[in-house]
Amino acid sequence: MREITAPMGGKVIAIKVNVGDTVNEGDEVVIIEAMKMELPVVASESGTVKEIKCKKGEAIEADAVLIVLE
Amino acid sequence: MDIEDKIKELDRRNREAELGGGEERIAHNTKSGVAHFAEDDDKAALDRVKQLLSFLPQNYREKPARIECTDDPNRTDPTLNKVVPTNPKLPYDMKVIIRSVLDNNEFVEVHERYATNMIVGFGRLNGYVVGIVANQPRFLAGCLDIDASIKCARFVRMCDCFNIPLVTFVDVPGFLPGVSQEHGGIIKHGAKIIYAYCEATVPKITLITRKAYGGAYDVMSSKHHGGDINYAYPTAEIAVMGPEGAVNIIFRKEIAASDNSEQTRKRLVEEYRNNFASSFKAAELGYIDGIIFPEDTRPKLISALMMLLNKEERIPRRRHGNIPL
Repeated sequence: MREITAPMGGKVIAIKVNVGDTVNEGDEVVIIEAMKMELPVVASESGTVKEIKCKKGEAIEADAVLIVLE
Repeated sequence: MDIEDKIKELDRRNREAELGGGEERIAHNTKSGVAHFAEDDDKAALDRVKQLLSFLPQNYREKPARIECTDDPNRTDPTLNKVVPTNPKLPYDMKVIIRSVLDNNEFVEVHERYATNMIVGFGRLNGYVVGIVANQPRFLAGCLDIDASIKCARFVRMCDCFNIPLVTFVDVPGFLPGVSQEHGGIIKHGAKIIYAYCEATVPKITLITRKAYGGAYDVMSSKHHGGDINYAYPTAEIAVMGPEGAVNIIFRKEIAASDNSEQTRKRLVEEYRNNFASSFKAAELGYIDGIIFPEDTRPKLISALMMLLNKEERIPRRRHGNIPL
């Protein structure tokens, strides 16, 4: 099981994948808004989305698990 | 191999993995910042050393050797006009601007894998060696954190030691907020950047490409700390804090009292953006020497550098400074 985590705390403003989607390394999976900026979170490796652990509009901490891949 | 040897061998492997040796050797490049470069083999490492030495003078009394410039100093690059997105919330790659303006687009990045929200490295402008310091909006929104502050301050002092002029590219929304940063003493480390820039007597040229907010604006080679020539793109936003945040605080009562608070807020944000958070206001106050078009970045930086080449500034005689360690 591999996890994609938040690089910094902020607000989740978009989730670009659904459970079951195949993602490739470097794909944008979630967009976080923090410090007046929209930060794309990219997949660190390829895989299939097993679980989405964040909700749109939710405030998250740095290093929080956003997506679980398998 | 008896059991004792096996234990020793295991112990050695564990230590290598945890302490940055073996396969985890890159950890000192990414996490601790102890290593500045990682090369594939001995030859590549030696070539890198030669390249780095080419940027340094023989000693602190000399300037780095100039090489003949084969790239046109007046070369403009219209593609730069489109690098900074019009939506201030979208990130972009600052290295595109850096590579575009340097001679032959050659940039040697130092600490490439450490504190990636800050970029430092060497290049040449019109044949003269310059040290590049830049925020990277692609990582952590370009915020300054503890690691980035230390990386920046050390590089600035390194350049000042060896008479290498500094060119600073600014797009910084602020210092990174958070408990771990506060407990780590972020302000103490941010102060190292101010100290390093104030102390540096080499030519200091600054270009604000977009955001320059609050304390983070201040530390990034601003006019207030002795920047010699400070340029800004027309897209620059220079202010004590962002329009949204500022308006919510300054006009809290006015917004609450109005009939249509959301509309009032939007109007005030727009007013703040135009009247205060713009490069024109900063230029009016003398904190920006020129507002330049992105395509002219290279010729403008080179003309500033040529003007400053003979800059001489003396710091008071003393035992040594007191950098906030």
